[in-house]
Amino acid sequence: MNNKKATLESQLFNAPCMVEDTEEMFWLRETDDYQSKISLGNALAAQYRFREAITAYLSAERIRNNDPMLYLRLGGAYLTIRQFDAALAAYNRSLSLGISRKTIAYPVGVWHYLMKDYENGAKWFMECLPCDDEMAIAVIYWHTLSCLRMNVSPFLLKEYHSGMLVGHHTAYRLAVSAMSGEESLENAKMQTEQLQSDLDYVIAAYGISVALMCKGQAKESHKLQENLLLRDSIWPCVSYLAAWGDCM
Amino acid sequence: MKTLYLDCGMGAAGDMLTAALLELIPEPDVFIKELNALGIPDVTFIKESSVKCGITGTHIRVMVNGVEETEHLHDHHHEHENNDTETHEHGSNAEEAHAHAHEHGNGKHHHSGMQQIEQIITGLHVPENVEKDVLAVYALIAEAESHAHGVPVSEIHFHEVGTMDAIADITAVCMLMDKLLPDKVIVSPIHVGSGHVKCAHGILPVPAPATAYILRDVPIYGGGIKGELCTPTGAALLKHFAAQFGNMPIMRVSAIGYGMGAKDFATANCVRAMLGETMEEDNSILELSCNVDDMTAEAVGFAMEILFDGGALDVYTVPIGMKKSRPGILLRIICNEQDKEKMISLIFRHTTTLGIRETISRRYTLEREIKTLETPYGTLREKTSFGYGVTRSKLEYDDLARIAKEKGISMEEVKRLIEDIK
Repeated sequence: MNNKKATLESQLFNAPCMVEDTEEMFWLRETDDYQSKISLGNALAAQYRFREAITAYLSAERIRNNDPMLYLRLGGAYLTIRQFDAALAAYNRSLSLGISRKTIAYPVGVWHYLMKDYENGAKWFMECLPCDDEMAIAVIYWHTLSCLRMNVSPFLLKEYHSGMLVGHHTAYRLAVSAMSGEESLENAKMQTEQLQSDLDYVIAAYGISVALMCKGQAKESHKLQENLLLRDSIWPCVSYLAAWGDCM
Repeated sequence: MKTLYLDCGMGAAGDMLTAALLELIPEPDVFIKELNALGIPDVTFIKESSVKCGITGTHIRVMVNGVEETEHLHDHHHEHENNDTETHEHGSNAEEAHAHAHEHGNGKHHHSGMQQIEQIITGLHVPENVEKDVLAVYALIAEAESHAHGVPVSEIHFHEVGTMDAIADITAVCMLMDKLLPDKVIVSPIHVGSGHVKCAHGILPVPAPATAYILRDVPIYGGGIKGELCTPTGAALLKHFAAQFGNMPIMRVSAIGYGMGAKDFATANCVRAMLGETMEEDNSILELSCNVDDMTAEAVGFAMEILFDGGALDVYTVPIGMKKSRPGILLRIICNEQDKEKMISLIFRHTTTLGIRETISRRYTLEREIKTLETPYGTLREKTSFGYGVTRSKLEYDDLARIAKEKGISMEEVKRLIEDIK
C-alpha cells in the first residue's frame, strides 16, 4: 500500500505532487456515483492531496448539492490549503443545509483562528460545548489560545482539570496544563522536546509557543515555532498550519 | 391494450423494479405487509421515500438478517469508508477517510445450489403462476451464471445473502406483475453502464458476463456513466416479462412509478414504470428494399406475387440506373414489423439480391369502413375512408370489374349506373 503523503509545497504552492493512487482509489474512480466520489475525496484527503480531494468533492456536488456533510468536508479541504473564502462559503452552505452549529463549530472556529479573527474563533469554540473530555481538551486549547492572542482572560481554562479523560489528546493536555499553570512552561517545553510523534510535538509546541509569546518570551516562542515547522510530516494539522500562518 | 412501459435509462435492479411497480398499485403498504408475510427466510422488505435529482420515488431495502445487500449474485468486494467522523481532530480537514477493504458480514458465508433455491421458491405462499414466473426468472440467472463460469447449472452455487435478496426481489416483482396484469410489457433499450467492477472472481467488464448473457438479443447500451447499472436480477426480470424492447409507444398513461436505486448519479438513478392504454394498431411500418440488375421481368413479377402472398402490405418496383450503366430495379416491400423476418427470408429466396435495406416509417392512415350495396347488378362494396377532416368513398375495383365483365360494358359505365341507383 502506498503510505506516502503529499507535501505542503505541493498543496500550497506549485511543487509537483508525487503521491500515487491506491488500488482503492483506482476503483473509486471507476464509478460515477455520489458516494464513490465522496470516498475518493476522503481517500485523497487522507493522502494530503487536498487539491485533488476538492476536485472529487466538486464532482460529487454536481450529482448532489444538498448534503451538508459534503460541504463540511469541502470546507476542510479548502481551509487546509488556505483558500479561506471558499472554505467559509462551504461551511455557510453546510449550515444553510441544516448541519447543526455544534457539529460545524470546531472547523469554523479553526477558520476564524487561522484568519486571526480570535474573537469570533473563541465564540465558535464555545459552541462546541458541552462535549466529552477528549473533545473538550482540544476546545479549551484553541479557546485559550484565542483569548491569549486577544489578551483577554481565557475563562474556559477553568474547565480544565487533571482528571480529564483526554484519550489520545495528550499533547493538548500538556499544552493546556502549561497554560493553566499546573505545569510550568519550561517543564512543559522540556516534555514536549521528548515527544516522538510529530503530531503530538506540533500540537504541544504550538500551544506552548503562543503562551510563551504572550508572556513576553518572544525569542523562545519563535525558536519553538521554527522547530515545530520542521516536523512537516503532519503539515495539515491545525497547529502546524497556525504556526505556519504566524510565521508568514 | 393495457401496457406497462419500463424506462430503463439508468439500468435496472430487482429492488428498483419492485419499487417502481409498487408505486403503480393502490395500496403499496398493504403489499409490503403481504411480502413480509410470504416466508422468504430471514428477509424483510422496507419501503421508504427517496428523492433523486428532485424526483420523488420509492426505494426498497431488502434486509437479510438485518444486512442490506445491494448487489445480486456478484460477490463484489466493496471498499467501505469508516464513518467515524472526527470533527474535532487534529487535521483541519474535518473528516479523514479511514478506508479499508473488508468482505461482507462475518466471513461465514454459505452458498445455495439451484435445487435448494427451488425448494425455497416452491415453499413460498404465492399463487402458482407467480411461482412459475419466479422459477423461470431464477432459471435465466442460473443459466447465465452457468454460462459465465463454464459449469453446469446443477453446479452453480449462489452466495447466501445475495440469493435471498435476489429471491425476494424476483418474488416481489412477479407478484406485482400478477397484480398489475398488463397485457404487454415494453422495455426501453437498457443502459447497462460502463467500466469495470471488481468482484470475488476478479475484475470484470461492465456489463458483467452474466448480465451480458441474459441480455443477449436485447437492445442495450453502455452510455457515459461508469458503474454497473443493470444487475443480473434486473436483467433476468426484464428479459422474462418483456414482450418487446423499444421506444415508448403511443399510450394514455394512467399511473407512473419511480423506483429509486441506492446510489446517486448525475442522472436520476431510477426505473420509471408507466401503466396505461396503448392503441391496438401499431402505426409504424417497415420498408425493406433492394436493388437488382440481373433478374428477368418474369422473375421479378413472381417474387412480387410471393411477397404479397406472404403478407406484404405493398410491393413495388422503381426503374433505376445501377453501376456499370446497368438498368435495374429498386424493389420495395412495405410490411408490418412482425413480418420482417419472413419477408427478408422471402426476398433472399426469390430475388438475386445480396443485401436488404430496412427503414422503419411512421404511417398515418385514414379509418376505413366498407359498406355492402345490394344492386340489380349484384352485391357491390363501397369503401369509405375518413379522418383528419377528410371523408371520401370509392366503389371496390374488383366488384366494378366483375360487373363490367358480366355486362360487357366499361367500368366507367358501371360507375355511372351505380351512382344513378344510389
